Amino acid sequence: MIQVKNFSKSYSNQIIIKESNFEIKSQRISFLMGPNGAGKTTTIKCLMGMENYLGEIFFDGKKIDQVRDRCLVIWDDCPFYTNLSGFQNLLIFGEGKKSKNEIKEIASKYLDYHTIKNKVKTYSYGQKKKLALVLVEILEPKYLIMDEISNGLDFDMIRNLQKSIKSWSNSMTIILTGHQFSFYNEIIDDVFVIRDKEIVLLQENFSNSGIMLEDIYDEENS
Amino acid sequence: MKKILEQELRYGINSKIYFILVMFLCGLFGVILFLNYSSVTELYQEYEGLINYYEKNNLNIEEELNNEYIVETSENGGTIINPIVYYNDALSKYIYAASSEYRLSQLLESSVLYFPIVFGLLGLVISTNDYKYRTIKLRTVRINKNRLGLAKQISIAISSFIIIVVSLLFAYIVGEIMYQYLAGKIPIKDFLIETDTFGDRSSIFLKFFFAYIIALLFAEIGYTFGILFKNMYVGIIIIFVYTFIIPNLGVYDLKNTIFYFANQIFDFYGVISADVSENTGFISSFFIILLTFILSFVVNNIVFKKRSSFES
Repeated sequence: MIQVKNFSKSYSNQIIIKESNFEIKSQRISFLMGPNGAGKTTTIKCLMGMENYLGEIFFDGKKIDQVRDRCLVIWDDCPFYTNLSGFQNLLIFGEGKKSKNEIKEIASKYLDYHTIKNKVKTYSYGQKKKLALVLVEILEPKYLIMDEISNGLDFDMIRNLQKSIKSWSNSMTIILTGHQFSFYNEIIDDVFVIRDKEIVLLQENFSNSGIMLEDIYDEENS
Repeated sequence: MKKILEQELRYGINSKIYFILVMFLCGLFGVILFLNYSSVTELYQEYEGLINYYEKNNLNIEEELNNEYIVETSENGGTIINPIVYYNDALSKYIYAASSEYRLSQLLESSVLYFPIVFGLLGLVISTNDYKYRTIKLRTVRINKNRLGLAKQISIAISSFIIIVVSLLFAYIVGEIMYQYLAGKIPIKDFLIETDTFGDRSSIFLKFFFAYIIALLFAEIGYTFGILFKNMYVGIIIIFVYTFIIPNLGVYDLKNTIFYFANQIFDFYGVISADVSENTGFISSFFIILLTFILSFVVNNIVFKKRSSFES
């Protein structure tokens, strides 16, 4: 569980997130909703201790520096060393957690052999996303955050990714953000919204509720 | 830490940074070997001309060779009295510098000239790569910034050592081939002087250690410039201008301290020479180098920690 207490974030005099208290349950898929500029990415940065903030954040009772090596964030732009091949990137960022053959095997589920051997600078946006997804399977983080993960993925990949995220949630605590609601509707467990700059839990067991994210979004922003 | 170090070293290998720097350093060492080779061949031509002159004029070469030579300088140039001895000595010195006994020492002497650029570049590349590719925001999720910064600097120390050793080995072999070629063109044995004639100011290990310290110092400075300026170009221009254009600024100039140690440790029998240091001693020179290390380390750690991983 990720426990967030009295959390707030400001830049100079501009409040980004007002004091918020919430809990992200373990081994569930939580979705953070908000329009562009609402503070979703800033919240992710704060969760990972990459920005200063007020309040306290605990990962199963521990501070971020104690669990850092069990976290992974897939950023929207999927940064990799573009001067290296996809495989070389996976060897570097894979931190020796899997053998070369295991990495090849995992990678083959997402990208063909030639693509993996090509330099990342030749990759499309979607291929970079797939490379990042390979990294999730290699590192098997306990806390996984994915920012706009469905962007740039083809239809087949989107369907497969939905299944993968569901299966990952058996062992991972997953936070997702994004705007392609149709992708998330079927897979998320809990929905958090940034309402008047405060992060609140809006709906638990969302996928069983029959509500659609599009409706929540319209209601929140009307 | 081991995990981060492995990442850094793997990046250095896969991106061919280490390979490029080894090639670059080998090329620079090659310049030294070539200059030494050219000096020997040119001096030998001069020497041969003199021998012909002595023989044509029935002068006693053996007798002249037992005397000293005198170099008199004037506004219009200078005069060498007894030039045959002068050329004989100079040839002996350059042949000794090219020989296997001294070749390594001469290559290490060039550290004063080359290492600021080569290892400054290494520091700059390693400090800026994660900002350039924006991978800093992926890495600092899983790695504490302090540990990442430290691992990067340790990886620079390890890779610098390997780059120096590999480049020296390669240059040494090339130097040996050049020496054998030279031996085919010039009667080297006629000029060989006992090794004792050319004393060694220090052991080869101390020479290597000093060269390694220069490499580490400028790699650290380069790393700090990379962190400060977030790009390679400003840093490399500063290092280049400082090393090759700005004159020695005196006692508290880092260059001055390097010249001081270089003149204590190296013999400079070959084509390399270092400026004479001004009004400095061991203690002040030692502390200036130490202070530069510490200052660079502290500054780059503070800036690296404070800077957002989302800046590029």
